[in-house]
Amino acid sequence: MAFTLLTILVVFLITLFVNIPIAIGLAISGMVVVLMEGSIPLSFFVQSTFGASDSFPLLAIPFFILAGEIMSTGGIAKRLIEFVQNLVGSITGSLGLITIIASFIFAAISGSGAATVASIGAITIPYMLKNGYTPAYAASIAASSGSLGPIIPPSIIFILYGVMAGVSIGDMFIAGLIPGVLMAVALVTINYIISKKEGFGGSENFVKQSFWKSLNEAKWALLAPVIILGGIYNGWVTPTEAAVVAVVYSLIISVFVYKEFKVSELMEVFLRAAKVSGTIMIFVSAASFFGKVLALKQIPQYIAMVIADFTTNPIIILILINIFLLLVGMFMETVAAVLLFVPLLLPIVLPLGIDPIHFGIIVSINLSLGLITPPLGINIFIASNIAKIRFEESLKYFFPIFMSLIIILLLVTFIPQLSLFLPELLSK
Amino acid sequence: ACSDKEGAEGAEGEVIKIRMANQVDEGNFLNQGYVKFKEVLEEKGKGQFAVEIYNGGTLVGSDDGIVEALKSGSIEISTSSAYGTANTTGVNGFKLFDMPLLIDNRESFYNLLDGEFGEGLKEEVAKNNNLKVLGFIDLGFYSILNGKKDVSTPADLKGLKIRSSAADLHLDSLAAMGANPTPLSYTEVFTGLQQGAIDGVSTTTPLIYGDRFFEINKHLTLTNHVLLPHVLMINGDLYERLTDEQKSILEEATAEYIKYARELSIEAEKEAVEGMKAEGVTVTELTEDQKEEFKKVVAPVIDKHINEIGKDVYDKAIEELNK
Amino acid sequence: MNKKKRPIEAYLSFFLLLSMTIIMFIGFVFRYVFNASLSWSEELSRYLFIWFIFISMSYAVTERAHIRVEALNRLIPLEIRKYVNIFGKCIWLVFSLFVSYLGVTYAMTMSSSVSAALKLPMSVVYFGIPLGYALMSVRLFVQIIQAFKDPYLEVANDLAEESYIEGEEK
Ligand code: NA
Ligand code: NA
Repeated sequence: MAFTLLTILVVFLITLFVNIPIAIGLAISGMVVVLMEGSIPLSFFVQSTFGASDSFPLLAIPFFILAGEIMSTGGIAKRLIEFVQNLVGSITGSLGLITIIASFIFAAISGSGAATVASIGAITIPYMLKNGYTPAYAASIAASSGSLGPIIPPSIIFILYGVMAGVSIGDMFIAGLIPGVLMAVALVTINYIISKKEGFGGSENFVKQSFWKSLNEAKWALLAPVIILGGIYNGWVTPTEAAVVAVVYSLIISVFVYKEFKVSELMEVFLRAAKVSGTIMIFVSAASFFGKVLALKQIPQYIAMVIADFTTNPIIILILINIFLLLVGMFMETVAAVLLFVPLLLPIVLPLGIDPIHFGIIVSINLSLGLITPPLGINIFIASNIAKIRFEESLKYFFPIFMSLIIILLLVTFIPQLSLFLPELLSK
Repeated sequence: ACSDKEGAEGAEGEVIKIRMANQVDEGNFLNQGYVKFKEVLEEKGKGQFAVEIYNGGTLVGSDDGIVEALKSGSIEISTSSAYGTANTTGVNGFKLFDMPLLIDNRESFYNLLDGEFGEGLKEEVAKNNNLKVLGFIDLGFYSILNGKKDVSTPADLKGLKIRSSAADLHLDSLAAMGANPTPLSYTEVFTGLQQGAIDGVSTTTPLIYGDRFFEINKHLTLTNHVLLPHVLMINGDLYERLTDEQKSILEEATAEYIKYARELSIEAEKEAVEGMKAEGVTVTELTEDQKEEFKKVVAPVIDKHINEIGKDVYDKAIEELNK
Repeated sequence: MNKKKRPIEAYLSFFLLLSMTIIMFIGFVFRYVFNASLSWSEELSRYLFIWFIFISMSYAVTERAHIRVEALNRLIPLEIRKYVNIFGKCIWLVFSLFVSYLGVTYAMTMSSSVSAALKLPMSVVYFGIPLGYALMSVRLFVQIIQAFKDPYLEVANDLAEESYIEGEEK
């Protein structure tokens, strides 16, 4: 047992060391164990690769990515921002506030954090810079608003978690709503405090339209989250169908209504989605194979046993898991972390009576915080790139923003009802 | 790594490692049966067999996958549904058991499977696949649960969206029975029922009970339109490697397991139906006349799909069933 | 629009994703508008998805987009790192060729199985896996050859980032 575990770790670290992608590194590590074991045929790799890929719920992933790409290319993201701008005007920190609210709405149509920053930040960061916000703050607030992406449904990591834990993806989506709103509230609060202190205001060169006019401009964009989430919550569509509807809807609006999407751009947009889906899905299949090899060697049970020997107090275990996941999130990409660690953690927490949906939300918040933690924080990379500053410079405001989100994480961890209230309410 | 000599001497002296896989929870009766198989085989084998069970889909996540894994030797012994076995072995005779309202009772069902017809299926599997069928069990009769009304005739099912697998025979059967069949992935069923995306579900009573669908829907009809067989199989190469003594130990263990598993299934059904009654579910049993009515409406479905099974195979089965 | 030359995987991925979108949407319309479920749309899009996954996996290689943990690799001094990374790519290539071989042999064993709704031969569905890995092997092979001519190609990303940061400091 310990020897196998050590072998896996060493092989895996070597593959990372020589710059092999994590998915391929996992597959190689699993394959080495299979070769050592001798009693498992090598075709097991092909079988489990196929088994993991042949999944209707996972089909939602390329579609949600594609929908996000179309919406940011075709003018939907832009109109959301203009609408919110008219809504909040020029109060203290209003451009930060606009970024948060627009990200919140965009998160309700996009499945990932990076997509949210790239779409909203690309527009609001230059705007903040023009109006006297420091580049560091502009980048920080856009990056951390992006961490709403995977928590406000739809969410790619909810889909992956649901498939792995065998819980309803629809339930996961509903469960993410209150925690997502709380995270947004935390961001709004901290934005107000920092903006007040630093004197960040609204935009000066902005022509305010009437509320109704701007609502009219943005109505098709605002309808997108209503259609997606409403469709899922009312049981009209499964999450996978909702994703397809989102793609078709956003295409129609972008091409025919806003007329900002040229058909010649179609291939480019599809290819951006293909590239991201390809990297995620190859990860899914490799991690599934890896997980099965671990299961064959009974390693999850072994780890669960070691932890159970140490403590069975659910509060201590949840705190330890939170710390562990925050550390993981520092170094690892979200999808990778979910696929790697959920199969290891579920056998530990389920016997303690922790609800798998509640646990899914805890895991997701932890890892979405990883999007804004150094050294690997994809949201900060994207945002600092837009703000044209170095990664390290954008960290100036990191601590207060991060701490405000940690408070929400702790609330969600220890008040299961924040995650479970809505799914239970809707089941009545 | 622990085998010293293989080949002509067979597997003597070697501990035969047997991996079994299923997709159900630890407490599910299918898994309980596996545990029994493990106990009996290890005890009778006196150290010659070591059985490991991987439940909950940790190793293989689908019925088709289980048969593929058995063929290639990723696992050694397991059960898979007749449907999954048909898909992956090319033996279409197994699809007989998805025909609606063909099987009235377990007695004739097992007469068919334990008799000549079952032998024919076993031979056909072995002919083209690296597999040996050890025997047959069942996971219970299919029922229909819905949230709208008591159902006792095809007309009552009219307009009800009932969740089904995506297999065309299942879809056609439900449609013929009057329902509006809706394919949905199984993990979405509970939420689907809650939110009204579907009005009901067609599956075995132990699953309806175990996955707590009855908490949302209160009308259960024991349509018994399909009795779901599971086929116990062993990897062909492994079987060939066993010594004669080991083969007879395996045979004894299998016999004991099969008897036990068939009883478990009956008990699980009873427990499910009584448990649901206690929870306030109205349970409708069909009268002979009502059953005839359902049989009448599904007749065209059988005709439509008969060629997938083979007319001769089908006729032979009917003949044996009517004996 | 700049007409850049795209690899074959790009056209295949585009075609597959577009087909999946159209088929799924038709399935959706039939179920919700005409209240009649198509039995084949779910299955066909699932199987197209399998081909899509492995072909876009190879496409992502051409774009050097696969997810890595860079922290460990960056511990190595740049001059050594470029050779280490070529070595890593060679291991990756060997693995990829190996899976192509496994996939083809496995797909061939599936010749007797057909899918539930469309009666597609399952060997065709499975073939998407080795095809993707074989295409990926070709891409990796080409990148390795290029890297032998110019080893800095394998650390190009790191270099770009470092020079970008230096540029900012000036
Ligand atoms: Na989202
Ligand atoms: Na991070």
